[in-house]
Amino acid sequence: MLKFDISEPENPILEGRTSYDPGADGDAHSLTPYDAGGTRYILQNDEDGFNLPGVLASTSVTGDERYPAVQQFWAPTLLSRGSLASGLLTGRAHDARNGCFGKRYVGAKNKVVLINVVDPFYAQQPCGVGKQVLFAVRAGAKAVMLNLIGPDDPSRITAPDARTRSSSTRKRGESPSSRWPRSTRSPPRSGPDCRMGS
Amino acid sequence: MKVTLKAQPPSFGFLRIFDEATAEDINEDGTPEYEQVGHFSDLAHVRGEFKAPPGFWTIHNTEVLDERAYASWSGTASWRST
Repeated sequence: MLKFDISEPENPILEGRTSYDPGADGDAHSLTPYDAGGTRYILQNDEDGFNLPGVLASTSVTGDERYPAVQQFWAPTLLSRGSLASGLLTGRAHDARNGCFGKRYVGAKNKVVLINVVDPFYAQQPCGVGKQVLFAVRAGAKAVMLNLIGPDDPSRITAPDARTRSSSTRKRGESPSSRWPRSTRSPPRSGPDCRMGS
Repeated sequence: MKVTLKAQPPSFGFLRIFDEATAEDINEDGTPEYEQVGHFSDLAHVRGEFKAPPGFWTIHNTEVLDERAYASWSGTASWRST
C-alpha cells in the first residue's frame, strides 16, 4: 500500500508504504484508514487466492541472510506436503549455471541444483525451464532452485528488504548476488532466490 | 555449500493493521515504511493448513464505522479445481 500527498494532483508525492516480513506473500488488495486516539491506522486487506507456502532459502556461506522464493505449482513435491510435511529441506548445492546442457548436471545427484533462468517475458532464453528441470530430474537432483533473471526478480519485488528490519544491511537496488559466494560459481545477477521445486 | 529451504506458514490473505506513527525509512530509499502492529487471521482455513478445502478463504475488503470494522471475507467453496 502506497500513500501519496495529492495536494498538487499533477505532482503526487509518495509519503509512505506498508511493508511485509520476509516470507510473507504481500497481496495487498485494498485498505481503509482508521483514526483512534490521535493515531491513524491502516487496515490493509491482503486478498490471496491460494495458500501455497512461500519459502526462505539460506546457505552455509551466507549466514543469516534469507532469500525469498516461491514454490512452483507443477513441482512433483511441495514443501509442507507429503514427505516434506516439515516444510524443511537441506542439501548440498550444485551449480548448474545456465543449465542448458547435460554436462552442467554431472554430480548433481541428491543435491539442491541451482539453475539460472532468463525471464522469457523480457528476453530470449538460452533454453526453456522445462528442459532445465528435466535435466535436473534425470540427474537425480534432490531439489531445484531457479534463479529468475529479469525485472520480476522477487528479491526486488519484496522490497524494502527480504531480510528482517534488525539484520538488514542491503540497500534497495543492491542485488544479493554480490553476497552469493564466488566459490559456488553461481553467476546470478539478481540473487539465488525465485522459483524452486523438489 | 549447503542450502536450506524452509517453507513459511501457509496462509490465505488476512487483515493487517499498520500504525502510521511508526513510519521509518528502514531501507533508506527515501520512502518511510509503516510497521505492522496487529492482524486478524483467525477464521477457518485461513492460516496453517496446506492444502485447505477447495475455495478462497481470504479477506477481500474492510470498511470502518465508528469503532467497528466490517470485513468481507470469502469463506466458501467458490471454485473447485478438477
